Amino acid sequence: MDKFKLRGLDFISGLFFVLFSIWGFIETFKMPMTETYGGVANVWYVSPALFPLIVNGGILILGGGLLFFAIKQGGFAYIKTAVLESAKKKFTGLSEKNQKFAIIMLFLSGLTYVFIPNIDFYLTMALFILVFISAFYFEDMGLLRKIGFSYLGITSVLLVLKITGLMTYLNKLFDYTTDVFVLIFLFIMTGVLVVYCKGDAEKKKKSRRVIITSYLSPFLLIVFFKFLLLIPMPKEGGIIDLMNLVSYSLK
Amino acid sequence: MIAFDQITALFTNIWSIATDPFSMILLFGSTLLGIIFGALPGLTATLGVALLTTVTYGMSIEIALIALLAIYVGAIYGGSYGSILVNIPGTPAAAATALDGYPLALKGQGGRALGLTTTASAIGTVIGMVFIVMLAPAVSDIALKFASFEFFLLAFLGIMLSGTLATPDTVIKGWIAGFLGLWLALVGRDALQFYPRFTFGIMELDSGIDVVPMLIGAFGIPQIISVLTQDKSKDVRVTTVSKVTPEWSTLRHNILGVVRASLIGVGIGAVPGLGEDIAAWVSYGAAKNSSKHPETFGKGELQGIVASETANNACIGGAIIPLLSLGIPGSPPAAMLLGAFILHGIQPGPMLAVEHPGFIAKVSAIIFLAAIAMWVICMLLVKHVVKVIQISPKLFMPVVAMLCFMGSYALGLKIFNLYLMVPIGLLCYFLGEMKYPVAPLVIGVILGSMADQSLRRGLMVSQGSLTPMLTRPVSLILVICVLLMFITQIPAYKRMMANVTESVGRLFHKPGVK
Repeated sequence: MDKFKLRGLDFISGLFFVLFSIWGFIETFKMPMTETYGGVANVWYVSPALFPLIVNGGILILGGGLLFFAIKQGGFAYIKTAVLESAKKKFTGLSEKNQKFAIIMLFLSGLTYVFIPNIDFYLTMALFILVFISAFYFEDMGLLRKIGFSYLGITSVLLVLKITGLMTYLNKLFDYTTDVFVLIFLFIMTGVLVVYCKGDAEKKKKSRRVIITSYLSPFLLIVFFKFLLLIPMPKEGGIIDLMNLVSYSLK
Repeated sequence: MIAFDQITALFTNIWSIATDPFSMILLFGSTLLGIIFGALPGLTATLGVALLTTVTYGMSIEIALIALLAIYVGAIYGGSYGSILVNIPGTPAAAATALDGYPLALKGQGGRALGLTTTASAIGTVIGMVFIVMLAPAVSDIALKFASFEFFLLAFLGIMLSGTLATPDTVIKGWIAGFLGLWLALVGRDALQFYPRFTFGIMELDSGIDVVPMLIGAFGIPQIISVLTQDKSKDVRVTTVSKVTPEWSTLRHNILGVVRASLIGVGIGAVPGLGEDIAAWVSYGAAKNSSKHPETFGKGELQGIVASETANNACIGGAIIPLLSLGIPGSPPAAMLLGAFILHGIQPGPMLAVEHPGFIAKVSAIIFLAAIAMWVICMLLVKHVVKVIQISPKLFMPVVAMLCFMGSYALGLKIFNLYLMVPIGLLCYFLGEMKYPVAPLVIGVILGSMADQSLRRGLMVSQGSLTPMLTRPVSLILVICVLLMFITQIPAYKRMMANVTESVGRLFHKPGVK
């Protein structure tokens, strides 16, 4: 990374740490210093605020030091120039690296905050792996964007259903409604991948690998963790209930 | 007498593991898994230990120990496959090996280079293990005399030292990362008064941030992001491997180099936060500087391979010494191991030998057997293991992500762990991009609670007086070390020292004499 750009980032992070430590101090001063807490009369050296004060003080001093160092090395000047230049430039969209980063963040946050707590774990993971590998393995930015938008679409729909309470209502009305919805989406995405690879032997080979990995690896993971280590999955929906049924009938 | 007891316990443990078929299968399997993990670019030893921690969580500590230590040893060595055969180091620890390993492979001597790295790594691991047996109990004995203030200062010194040495840019960033780790350790109810600190009324935060999910996030997510946001991957063409030979004679001729590399590896491993990669580079540099033909380095010099590979594996032993005796991890994979030990109810530190007698000998025995397993696997299976290098990271990284999620959840069965893992991973990614080291942050998180409790306990005993820090010899030494570390980084001090050096130089410099 360019030295001036790095100092510019140091300026931003130094400022962030100074502000963060000030906020930390404000929170720390709310802690019992000399008054009684839980029947224990505090003196300064027993107070739960003692170590937070030291740590926040350290962050404040070091953050301030970094800020000073960055300004001295031209970090502030770099940021100023960069901001002025970007204001003049016409926005032409995110760079390829930033697009990839945004898609990864979408996949990870969608998985964590929307899919895992609400959808059957097998379906969640199979869909996650299918879209994640497809988006990056074929090294096609067009495909990456399309997959990203599709995942954003289904994540948004699920989020709306959850926020409005429709998800609970639908699942009460018909069992596994949202699971079926995601299963259909998983099949659609698989179909899209097959169509995308049609007529290209190399891509077909790759798509086979993607599909096998996507459907098989969550299955193996669940068999290992749930049926061998006896760890319950975060959300057991349609598919895991089916696996339970098969497992019990085999026993 | 103590040394004799340790050696007896070591051999007893080696015998009991070696004669148990299940343990041996597990040992060989985990070592092979480690080699594959190390060989695959993008997967690190730390991530390997992290993921296996989650799998072994429900098992007994004996089984978990074998699996975790074997994967650690295998992964550090496995990185050399990519370095030698495709010039892409599987792990950062094997980056120095690529300098001479790949030119050798291009000359058609890939098998020879692999044989050499295997034997050198095995020797390095065994020497590191010898140091664990010799030093860990001795350090523990000394540490038993430590009181609260010493533990506080030790934790503080560990964070400062790691921040100073592990930083890729200015030292302030290393220290900030360490303090940030300490801050994260503050979250939750404090151990002495049970007061909730920085929990914001969130019940799940009352017990604090779980260390292992946090470590999985800190090491796993940045790795996934950085591998997948890379430019288009090149086609990997693996150079051919004909016959792998152990290269005993080459090592016999480089015996001094092996000893030097091992000592460097153990020494660097024992410093908190520094890892196998730094050990390999320092050792490579030392070998080059002491060589009669430094110009041959980088062109397929065998001494270079021996230096880096012996050191990075010897570093394992070095990193485990402070882990077992003081509870301070020497390297990122050792930090992960610490998390795993705590999960299994084992608290490394001075009391380890008292609470779990024989634990150090058990760890040493497993490391010794893992070194042998690694050597045997390479000699027998190298041609098959080499094939895994051809798998694209873009195919397996999402699967690794899935394992990270499952692992973080499985430890404690809390979805909340996942809610924390993602932002912590993102924070570590950005910190890494801005050249902040992650190792001090991790060490800060691990040692934060010890530092907090020790300081307050010490002050309670001394009724709020800080004088014992200056009157107790060990704590005084630690205070001086911390202060020196801080002062020597101040620009004014650096300028003053430069002026002094220049003035002294001028004093002895005779005009007209070069």
